[in-house]
Amino acid sequence: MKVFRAPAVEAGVFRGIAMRFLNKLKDPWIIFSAIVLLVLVYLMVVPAARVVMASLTSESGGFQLATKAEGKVNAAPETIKGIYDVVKDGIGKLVVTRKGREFFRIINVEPGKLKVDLVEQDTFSAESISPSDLELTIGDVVIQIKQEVMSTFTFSAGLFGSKKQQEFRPLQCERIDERSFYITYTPGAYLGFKDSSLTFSPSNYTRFFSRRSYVLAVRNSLIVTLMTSIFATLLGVSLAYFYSKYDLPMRSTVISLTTLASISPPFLGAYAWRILLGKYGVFTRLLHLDFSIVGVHGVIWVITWLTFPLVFLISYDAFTSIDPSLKEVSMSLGANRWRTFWRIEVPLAMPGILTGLYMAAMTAFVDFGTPYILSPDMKVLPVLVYNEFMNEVGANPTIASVGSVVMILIASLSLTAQRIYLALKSFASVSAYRALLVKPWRSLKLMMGCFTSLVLTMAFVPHITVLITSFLKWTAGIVTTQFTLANYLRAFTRESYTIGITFFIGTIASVIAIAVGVGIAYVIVRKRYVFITDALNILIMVPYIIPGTVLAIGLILLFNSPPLQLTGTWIILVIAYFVRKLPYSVKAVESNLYQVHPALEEAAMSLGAKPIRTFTSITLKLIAGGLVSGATLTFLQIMTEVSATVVLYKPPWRPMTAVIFENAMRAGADYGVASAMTVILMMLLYIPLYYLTIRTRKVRGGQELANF
Amino acid sequence: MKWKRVVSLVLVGLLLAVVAFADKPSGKIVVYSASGPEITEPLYKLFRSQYPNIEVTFVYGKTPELFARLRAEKNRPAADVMFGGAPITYDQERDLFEPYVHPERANFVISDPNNIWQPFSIFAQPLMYNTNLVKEEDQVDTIIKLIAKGEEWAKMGGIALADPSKSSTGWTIVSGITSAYSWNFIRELLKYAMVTPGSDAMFSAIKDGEAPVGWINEDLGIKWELAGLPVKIVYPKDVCTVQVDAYGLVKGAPHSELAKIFISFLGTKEAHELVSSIIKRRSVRKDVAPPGELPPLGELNLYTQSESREVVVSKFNKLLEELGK
Repeated sequence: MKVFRAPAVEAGVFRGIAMRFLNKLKDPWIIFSAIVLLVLVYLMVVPAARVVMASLTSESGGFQLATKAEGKVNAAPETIKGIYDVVKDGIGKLVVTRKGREFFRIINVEPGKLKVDLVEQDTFSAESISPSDLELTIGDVVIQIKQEVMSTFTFSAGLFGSKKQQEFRPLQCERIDERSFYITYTPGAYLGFKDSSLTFSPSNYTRFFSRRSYVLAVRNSLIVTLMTSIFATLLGVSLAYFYSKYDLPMRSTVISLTTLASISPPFLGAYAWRILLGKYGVFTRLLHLDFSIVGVHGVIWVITWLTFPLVFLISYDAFTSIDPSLKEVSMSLGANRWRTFWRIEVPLAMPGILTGLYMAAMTAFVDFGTPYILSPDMKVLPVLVYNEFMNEVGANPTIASVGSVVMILIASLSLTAQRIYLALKSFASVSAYRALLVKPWRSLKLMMGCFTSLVLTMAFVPHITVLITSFLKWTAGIVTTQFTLANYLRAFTRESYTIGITFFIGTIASVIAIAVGVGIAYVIVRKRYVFITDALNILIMVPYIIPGTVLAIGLILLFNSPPLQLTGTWIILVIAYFVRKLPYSVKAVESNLYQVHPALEEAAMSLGAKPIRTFTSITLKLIAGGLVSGATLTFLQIMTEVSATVVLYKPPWRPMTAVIFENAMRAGADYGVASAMTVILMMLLYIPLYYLTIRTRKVRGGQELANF
Repeated sequence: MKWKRVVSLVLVGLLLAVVAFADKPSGKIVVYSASGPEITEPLYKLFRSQYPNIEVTFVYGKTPELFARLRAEKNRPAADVMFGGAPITYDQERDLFEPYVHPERANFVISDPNNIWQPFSIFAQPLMYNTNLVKEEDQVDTIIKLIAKGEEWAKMGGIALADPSKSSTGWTIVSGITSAYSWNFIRELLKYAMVTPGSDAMFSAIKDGEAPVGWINEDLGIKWELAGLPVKIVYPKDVCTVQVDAYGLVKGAPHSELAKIFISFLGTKEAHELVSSIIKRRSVRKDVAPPGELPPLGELNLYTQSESREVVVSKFNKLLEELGK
């Protein structure tokens, strides 16, 4: 049956929709959410999509001709790539095929001159880009020809006794007729023919997984991630359990110190372990060990000490928030201590422990600095992606992007697993009163004292080593035992600009991250917009599955060409930091917002305050404390960011981590300046952190660091 | 409205910061350097004593990486001078550089007919042993013998060799060896090699004892040896590769006049005396003697790159794939 609607009714429906839409526009929060949503999709999802796209395409290919000074011309077989092929026919012509079809023929005329005969195409044009570059357009195919002159001089007996300087001839194209032309070049040069148009090729994946060193990188990454999270969890959870249950001496100091230990000096932290436990490290020599920390085991060792503080802080919060009455009930029902521990305390703390474990695992998985420093030829995914990307700069990053996609997949799987577990096992037991701390017996006190000091010593080994080496003289990449202040002098005189820039970029990124973060958190907690709220909630998880290196590559692919060409500017660094650390600020504010009762806002609204006014004069003031700690933690995270920085930075916008990286990777470099820079950086970070954890006596670092 | 005051203060601060950083002080140039600070720092010290008002920021990186950057920044160069890397690399990328007739050109033993690159120094890549791992009597002095003892090195970590796709030193070494012997020889070598992503990793691997032997730039090797590190450099009698490193003026350099002052300085006799005495590299100037610690080049069997980088990289990668590395 057909339903006919009167036009008037239809108009009424439309008016109704329009009115509702207009009414929605009156709510500033929905406009904010919509804009933020679009921006986040553009900055998070699009770069990842570009990386996936890049992994599925590769350049069409090409080949290189090797010419000899006396006039012989041959195609170097190893260089024939992609959809191109070159074969020699019976009379010495080189037949070039594209996708199996004959494309053109190359005839050697004389040394320094080739003739090219087109086979089918009727149009061609050539443009000289530089004396060594020629751009040839045949039909709709563009081929770049580049000449590589091998040597403009030769070595011979004696110090350049008879040097032969070859005459350079520019690469040029000379038209003969519609279908043929000459190419003149320097005899003896290599002539590269390259078609960089992109073609769809899923074969990149088969190429990736058929090469042993790439598969090894995937395997090593998984081993490092797994082992590190197991060790970090064992250390962190056991410490957290005892400190949450017993009134152990110096409890708050231990917690504060662990919070400080969660920030480790970038790059040099790993290098410090190498100085101590390398093949000829200080301790290996002292104890006559045949041991070296270089290798996968070393990466696991170093990252364990780097990540256990996270696990500790998060599990500590989890254990202390358990409602003690549940334990009492269990005991009174006849369960013994052991049973209560396994059946009540562990399951209740499990979501927290698991979050800690997940954070440790992901930190280990995406860590670039540690494996980069800890081996001359380490094969793990973040290093592989970095090396291959740097190698392929300018070209389509195939191997790097396949590696990136593999990383995104692994990270997404772990995030999903963690989320599913939390969804299934989340028991909310909010309790106003906390369990009283049990007085520890003496042997436990002693044992825990030893254990804690051992763990904390290990955690601070990198910090202390860097501090000491920053006061020692370094020559040609070797540390001496001479005391000096020269490292600091140089860091301040030569790199003060860098320190300023780091602050400039870090502050802007933190301010944006916290400002947007507050808004997003408010919408998530208070507003129930269809689609938008859920979408925002999902989007702020995206940075967890896109490792820094991968995000950086995606941003380069996205912003490398006009109209928005941002590569090489500070803006791209700000974008990367903002995207990477947004979850930290959102989660920090979110947890605070839950504690502000909406009734207060409603009261303001009912008295006639507009939404913006209500937000600024009521909500913001109530969450000011959380805002400060969220901002501080976001700032700390940004200042020590490494993996995206090393891909994105370009002078003059070099943050401190980049300068440390440059110095740490050179064999003959001055680690002294790098050490001094690291110490300065750590001091700059510890001051706000100290203020946050010790001065305010409000040790809740775990919750904020976890941000889950 | 206390927070409003705080926010406005922060905003004003940011604005000031933007203004301060946007208005860069003049008299600053940026140098992309493929050579490490052990080479640039002594030179810079001398330069500053002559031109106290010109400040130089060095950005360090691997040669292929820095050239890739220059190419990417072609339309808006960030660097003024490229320092380091083989002349051939400059020849390949001549459109990135501005020809400059060096005032000291006549004093150099080699020079570029097109004035794209300026020669700086000459340095060989001898073998370096870690003496903690390899006793003097076990050190061999030809590449042939080195490969023959491959199994032994492999047990200690392998022969350190920089991947030619990521290092121009690696390219020189591999290409030099293939022109003396053959690619089959490289296949043998690769069976016992620790392939490092860059030459710095190769040098450090030997110094730190992660590899017993490998190649080294002679200047760094001799400095380490003189500093008392457990290393020993040995010039292989059959094949010793040699490189020239160059520098050039970036086309469209933002501070090209200041850059020319720096480039002229890099060719002066004072600078090259430093090259020989402190940096321990062989100067390209006719009137500066090579460092006394190094053997004369005439005594060595010298080889340099013989095949294009792409050919070397393609063949090398093919071998790695065949060997399952």
